[in-house]
Amino acid sequence: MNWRGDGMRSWLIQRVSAIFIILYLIYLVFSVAGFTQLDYQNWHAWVSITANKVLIVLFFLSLLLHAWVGIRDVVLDYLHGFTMRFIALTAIIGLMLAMAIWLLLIIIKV
Amino acid sequence: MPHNKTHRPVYLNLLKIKLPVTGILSILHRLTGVFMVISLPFLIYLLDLSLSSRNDFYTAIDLFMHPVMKLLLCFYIWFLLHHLLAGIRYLLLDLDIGVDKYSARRSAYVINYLGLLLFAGILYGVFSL
Repeated sequence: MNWRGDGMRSWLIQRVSAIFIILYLIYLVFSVAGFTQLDYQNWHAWVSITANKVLIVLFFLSLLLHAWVGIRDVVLDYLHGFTMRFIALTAIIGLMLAMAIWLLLIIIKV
Repeated sequence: MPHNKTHRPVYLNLLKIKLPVTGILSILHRLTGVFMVISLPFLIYLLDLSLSSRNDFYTAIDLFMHPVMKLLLCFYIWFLLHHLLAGIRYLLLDLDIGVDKYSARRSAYVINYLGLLLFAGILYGVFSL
């Protein structure tokens, strides 16, 4: 099986990231539902736990990988020609990297 | 544009193409995904607010007191649930579950209508809060 040329890698990334996203969302919903009250103190304390910080960053990386594979498919379906695709995909990668850095900064300062 | 050898009408007018139910599920899966990616910066902004300070946390909550924001929230939850359900359906199809035409159409119907039903429930829930 060729992992570079035939989209097998993208296919696997999309599914593994999807499963991790689902598991994380279930964990998040149950955690927040378990708060005595949905207030700043409980929320901030929950995010402050190191394991939760690690999970949040992993979740966001999965989300970005998932979004990248999905959006790239949309771009390749509707935009044609090297120039158009290059501009669109480069802009999208730039925005996604910016969001990744933004999220890291938010989580680190908590 | 493909060469039309047989002189049959070629409809590329989206309004004249009637999608099968599985096609509707598929295009919704795509549209909801694109919508959620576009709203990502706003969600990160909300996360930032919610963790910055006690005041900012309540600023974030108060944003959703506005009816337009409530409506957006309802749509977002609907889109997320549809994307999740349709995505789980695709994962099951990968495992050879529900691949035959009858099952595939039935699961697509159930998910599309379940999505609408959940949307109605979410609207009721969010606006009666």
